[in-house]
Amino acid sequence: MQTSASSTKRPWWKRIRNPFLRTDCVPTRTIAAILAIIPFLVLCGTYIHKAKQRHAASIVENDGIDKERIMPYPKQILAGVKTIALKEDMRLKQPILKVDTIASGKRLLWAYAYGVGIAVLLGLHMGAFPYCGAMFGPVIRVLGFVPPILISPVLVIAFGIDELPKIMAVIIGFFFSVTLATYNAASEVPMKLIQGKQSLGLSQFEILYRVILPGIAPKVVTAIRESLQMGVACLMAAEFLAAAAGIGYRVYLLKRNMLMEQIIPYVLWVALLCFIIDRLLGLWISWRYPWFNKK
Amino acid sequence: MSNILFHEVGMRFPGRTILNRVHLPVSAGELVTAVGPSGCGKSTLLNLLFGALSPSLGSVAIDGEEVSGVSTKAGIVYQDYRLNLMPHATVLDNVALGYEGLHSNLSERLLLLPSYWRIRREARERARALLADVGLPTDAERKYPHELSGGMQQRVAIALALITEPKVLVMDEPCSGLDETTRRGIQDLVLEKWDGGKMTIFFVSHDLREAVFLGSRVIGLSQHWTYDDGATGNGALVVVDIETPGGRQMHDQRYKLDSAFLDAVELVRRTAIEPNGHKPLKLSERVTTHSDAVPVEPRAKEVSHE
Repeated sequence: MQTSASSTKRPWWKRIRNPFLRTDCVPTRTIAAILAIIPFLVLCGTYIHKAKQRHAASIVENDGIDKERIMPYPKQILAGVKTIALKEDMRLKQPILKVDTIASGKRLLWAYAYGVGIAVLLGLHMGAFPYCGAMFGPVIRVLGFVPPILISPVLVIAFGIDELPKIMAVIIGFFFSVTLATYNAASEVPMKLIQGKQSLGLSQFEILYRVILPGIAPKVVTAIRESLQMGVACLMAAEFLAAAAGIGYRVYLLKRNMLMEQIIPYVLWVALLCFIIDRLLGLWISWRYPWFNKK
Repeated sequence: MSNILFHEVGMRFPGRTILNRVHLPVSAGELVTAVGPSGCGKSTLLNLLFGALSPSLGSVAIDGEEVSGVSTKAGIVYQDYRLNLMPHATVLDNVALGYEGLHSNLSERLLLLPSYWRIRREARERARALLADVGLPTDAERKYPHELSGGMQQRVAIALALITEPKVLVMDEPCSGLDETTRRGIQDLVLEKWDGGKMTIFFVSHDLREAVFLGSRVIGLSQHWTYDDGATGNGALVVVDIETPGGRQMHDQRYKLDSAFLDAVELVRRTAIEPNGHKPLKLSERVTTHSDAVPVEPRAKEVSHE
C-alpha cells in the first residue's frame, strides 16, 4: 500500500524504469536478439538513405545520368556478390571469392600456427620465471607499441613478395598482444598455489605445464580471439602491398576500378568470417573450460 | 610424525620487524595452534615452517633438518580453495596429482612410460580412498573445485595435503569463512586425522575458542610487549604457550565447556589478544606452562638498534 501511495505521487516519467541505465536489468535471449539487430537495421537504413541522396545528386549533376559509384544500391551490391561468387579466376579457373578466401585463410592459418606457439611459450616463461620476465618484458612491451601496419612495407622490402612477408605481417600483428596477455595471466597465478604444488613434489617444469598453462589456457584463447582483428588488418595491409591472390589484393584491384559493388561484399565477407571464427573460439572456451570465470 | 624447532627465529621486512627471536620447540605428534591479533606474525611463522619464507635470523628445522624452501616434508592447507586446488582439474585429478608427483619421476611422466600409467592408476585409487576418508561423496570426484561448497573444498584440500603423507601438516585458517556446521565438520576432520598424536599439525587460527578447542598446545603471539624496564620491544613474541584441555581430550565433549577450557581461552585472551587492558605485556608476564616452552630473552642491543 505504501509503495502504491508513493508511486502515485511521483510523475509518470519518473516511474518509468529505463532498462538501458540500470545495472540490475538483464534482457532475455529474445530481447537481446532484437536489441542486437537494431543497430544493423539502423546502419542499413542510413546507408540506403545516403545512397539515394548521392544517386539523386549524381543524376542532377550529370544531366540525368547516374554516375554514382561510391555508394551502390543494395541491388547493385547483390549483383556484385554474384560477380565475385561466379566470376572465375583466369589462372585457377575457380570463382575469385573462393580463390581469394583460400589464399588469405591459408596465410592467416600459417601465421597463427607459427606465431601462437612461440608467443604463448615466451609469455608463459616470462610470467612464471621472474628472470625471464625481467629480461623480455620491457622489449616486448616496447615493440608492442610499434604499429604493425607500418612494418608491412619493411617486410616486403626485407623478405620479397613471396608468402613470407604476409605471414610475418600477421604474426607481428598478434604476437605482442598474445605474448603480453599470456605473460600477465601467468604472472597472476598465485604464488601460494605454485608453492602448494611444489610441496607435492612437482618439478618446475611440471608446475609450468601441468599447473600454470592449463590454468591460464582460457585467457590465452581469449587473447588469440582478441588478436584476430589486428592479425586480419595486418594481413589485408600486406596483401594490399604485394600479392597475387587474397582478399586484400582483390580489394586493391577493385579499388583501382572503383567497383564498390564488389568491394563491399568482400568487406562484409571478411567481417562475417572473422565473426564466425570469433564465435567458434568463444564456444570452444565455454565448452573446453567450463570452470573459467567461475567463483 | 616429526619434531619441529623454531630456533630463535627473527623475521624482518624493510622497516618492520615481524618476529623477534621466536624459540619454539614442537614435539612429534603435537597439534599446535597459533593465535594472536591480526598482523602479529602467525602466518609468517607458518610460512617459515612451510618453507615459503626464509627467516632473517635463526632457523627452522623439521626432524633436525633445516627447512630451506618448500619441500614434501610439509603439506599445506590454505583458507582459500583457489590457493589449494587447481581450478582446471577435477577433484580427483587435483588429489591424484600429488601422489603422481611424489611417486614417479619426471622422465616417466614426460615419456608416458608404462610405469607412469601404473602410478597414475595407483594415484587415482589412493585419491579416491582418501577422498572417501575425508567424507567426500563419490559423485564429487568428477566435479571441478568451484562446483563444491566451502566445506567440501576444504575437505579436498586436506585430502590433497595428506596424499603425500607429509611429516608436518600446516593449516592457515582453514575454517575461516565457513558456517558453523561446516566449521565443526572440518574441525572434527582435523582431529580425526591427528588422532591424538599420529601426525604433527601446526594450525593457525584467528578464532581463540577454535584454537583452544583444537590444539593440544596453544601458542599466542603478540607484538604488544615491553621489556621489564618499560623499553619498547619490536616484533612478535610467543607470549603464551600452554597445554590445553583441547585436542584429544575435548574431541568427544565438544560443547561441554568445562572450566579448564574456559580458563584456557581466558588466559590466551588476556595474555595475547587483549593484554592487561591494552597495556603492553611485560616480558616477565609471559605465560608458559608447556614443558617444551623455552622463552628466549630478545637481545636488548638488537632491538634497541631498530
